[in-house]
Amino acid sequence: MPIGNIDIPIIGKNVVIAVLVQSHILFAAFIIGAVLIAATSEYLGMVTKQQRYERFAKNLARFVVLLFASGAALAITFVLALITLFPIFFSYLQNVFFWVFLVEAFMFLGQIIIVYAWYNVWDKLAYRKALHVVFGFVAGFMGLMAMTMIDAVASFMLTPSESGVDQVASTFLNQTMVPLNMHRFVGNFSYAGFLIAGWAAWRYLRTTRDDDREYYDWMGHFGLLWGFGFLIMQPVIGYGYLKGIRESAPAAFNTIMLGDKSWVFLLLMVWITIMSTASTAYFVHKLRFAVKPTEFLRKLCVGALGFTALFSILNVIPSNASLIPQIGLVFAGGENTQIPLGSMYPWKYIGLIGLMLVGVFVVALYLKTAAGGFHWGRASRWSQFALMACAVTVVLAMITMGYTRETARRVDNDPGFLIYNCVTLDQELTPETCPVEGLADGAEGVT
Amino acid sequence: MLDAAFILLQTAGTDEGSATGIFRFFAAFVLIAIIYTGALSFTYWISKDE
Repeated sequence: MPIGNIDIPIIGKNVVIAVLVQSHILFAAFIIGAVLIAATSEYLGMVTKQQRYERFAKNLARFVVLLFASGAALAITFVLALITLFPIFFSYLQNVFFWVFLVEAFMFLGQIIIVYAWYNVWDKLAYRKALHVVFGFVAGFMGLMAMTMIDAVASFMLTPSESGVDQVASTFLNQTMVPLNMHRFVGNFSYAGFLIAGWAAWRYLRTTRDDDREYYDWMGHFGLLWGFGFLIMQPVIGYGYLKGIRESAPAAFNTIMLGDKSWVFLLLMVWITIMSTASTAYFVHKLRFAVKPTEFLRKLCVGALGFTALFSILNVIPSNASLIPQIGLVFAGGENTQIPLGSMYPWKYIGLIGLMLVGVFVVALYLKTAAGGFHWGRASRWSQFALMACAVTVVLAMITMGYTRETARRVDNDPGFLIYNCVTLDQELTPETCPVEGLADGAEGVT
Repeated sequence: MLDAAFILLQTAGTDEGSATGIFRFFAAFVLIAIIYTGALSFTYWISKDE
């Protein structure tokens, strides 16, 4: 019987993989970010002797332990689905990346063991705190290494290396591997931070005890500092990543940035607009509760909120009237009608750079005030809603970005690719366009 | 109306020429959200008494 021609009714087999991988990523990215944030928090608790860092670190570690099984089960399910639905493609991938997958599997195993040990010996190692903190960081490091391995595979699928297929260093360090890895490294912190802030807001609104209110108010602030602090680094790293795609796979770049799928970038910018504005509004609100009143800094922050909104709007203006051609959202002349202020150069660059600069400015003002302390437990309801909005939006942003990276390989669907220019969506090899020597030459090509 | 439903539910390739791709995009979106929030709610439920 033919291998790999199983079809899934209604949603199609591509969507099955998308659903499983995206769900897995939402857990995996959170776990990597959360382990490192918790370890850092435990370290801060050790150094500052403030009890809430310790409470936060231990609770987060427990949550990670509880969540790990769901994330791991999704990973196994998606590998199973890949073997069943895309066996030819997956065989090639495993041949090229045998060592990478092997290292990843053992990093994953190591991470599970260390995370469980870390949580389990929490009280036992209470008097050897420095050693215990190291447990957390080792677990975080192993998570990062596992992510690095799979990033090599994912980036290779979009930008296959121009080398022999058996050149491990070239296939591993392909053209977009390093920027993708940086983008995800920073993204993990931001994503986990926003989710922590949203969770804290939810608990803050529901709790009735004063000490809990103070704790959850602080936790929302702490989570948002991670979330927004790392978010503002993303435009410059994301720019580096897109630059890599433009140089190595220009047609894919054009599809997601200028062509029929450019709405995915606009969609992403909508999410970033919501997160930036909500975060800045939260900071402005919080400055009211500074122990040492800083009215001038607060006014500067209000100004910064205005600039954030202005720069955000620059980023969500479409470049022409062909909004989403796939569902017929095309107005007045479509691609031929240019919309003022909508072009990538200079307006979106100005918007992105502006957002980053204002973000750095706001975080600096906020940190300066935070050093003097806040009165915790007095935050308003809407400031907590802003945190929850960030948490929901960051999930949508993750899904949108994942879709963008994977759909870039389709270009014009003539044909769409699983490994760009090498293996099509129908698992046909295309040796005439494949830059990787030996990959698509047939069965004897891979040795 | 019926034609539109047939287009959305067709099982052929996922070429983005029609609305099928968009439908699948949002179908996937909803499924991901369900799996994700489902697992999170379950985790919350089994640990809320601690």
